[in-house]
Amino acid sequence: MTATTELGYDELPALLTRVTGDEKHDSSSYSTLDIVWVLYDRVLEPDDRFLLSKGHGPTAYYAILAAKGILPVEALDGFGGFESTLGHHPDRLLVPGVEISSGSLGHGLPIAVGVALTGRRTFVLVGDGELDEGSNWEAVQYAGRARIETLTTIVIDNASATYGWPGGIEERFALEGWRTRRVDGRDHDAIEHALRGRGGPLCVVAEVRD
Amino acid sequence: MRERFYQLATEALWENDRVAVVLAAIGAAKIAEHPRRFDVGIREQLMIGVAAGLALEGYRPIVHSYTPFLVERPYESLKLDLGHNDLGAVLVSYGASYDAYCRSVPGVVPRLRRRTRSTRPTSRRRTS
Repeated sequence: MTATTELGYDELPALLTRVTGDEKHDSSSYSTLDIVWVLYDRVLEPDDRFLLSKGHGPTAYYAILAAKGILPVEALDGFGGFESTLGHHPDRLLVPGVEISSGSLGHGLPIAVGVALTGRRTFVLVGDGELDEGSNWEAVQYAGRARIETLTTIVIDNASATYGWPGGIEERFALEGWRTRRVDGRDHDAIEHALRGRGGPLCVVAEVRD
Repeated sequence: MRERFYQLATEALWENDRVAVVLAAIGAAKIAEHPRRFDVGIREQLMIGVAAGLALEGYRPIVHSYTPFLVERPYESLKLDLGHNDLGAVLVSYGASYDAYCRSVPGVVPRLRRRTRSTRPTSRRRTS
């Protein structure tokens, strides 16, 4: 990461406005904001990988990549336009810092398992609604049984799964052998503490209700 | 032919440290355990996703199953995890699929090239 042009958390709303062209921000872009910020600001090391599986709401992701100097701030202006590299689903072949092309739900976690199997410390972000997709459970089951310690799955729980997750989504991960934590998805210190948890695979459920 | 593939894949694993083998149960008894031989159990979407992840890290995954489990079942994973992400893997199937989908479906995945080999020389002319 280049540190020369880094911007702070307080400047993210202005960057988001630059992406969306709107003072108000919809929930799909806003739900991931604090988690992704804490990852890039406090947790990720240069050798780590972050895979955004929940790629259908990438505006916070783009804003944070720009804040951290990974993406030129000017690139945010054309978001979604014909000439822009920033689409409504991130494209790893076009956008610096983007590890996987995503947007179709249920693909990031299986890919993250492959990355983590090489010994790479890997973080993948999914949504609780996205976990309805069965492909995720193939990955959760295998990663737990194979004890892939370098893998952390972050679940944004904004109660958007059609039929919910009785008992909490983390119960499903725990049954498969994952260590689990539930945190307030807006509490930066709590998010950081949970993401630094040792032993894995690790599932951090970040509750976001606003 | 299948036995020969298992033999060659095993050799490739031991001879080249960038080669990995990803299986979904089928073939696991034929390719001896190795740190880069991953059997994910009967989970074909994961099999393709894992191959994509390994490819992202610079490995060359060899992925193998019977044709319907390599192609039709994880079709969207082939299309997105490998095709859309522009990642390389060697996909080795065995046997035909019920309605010959194995020949038509991969044709619409970007950048995927197909090679067909038959054990019967007479049928090879028709199917390749």
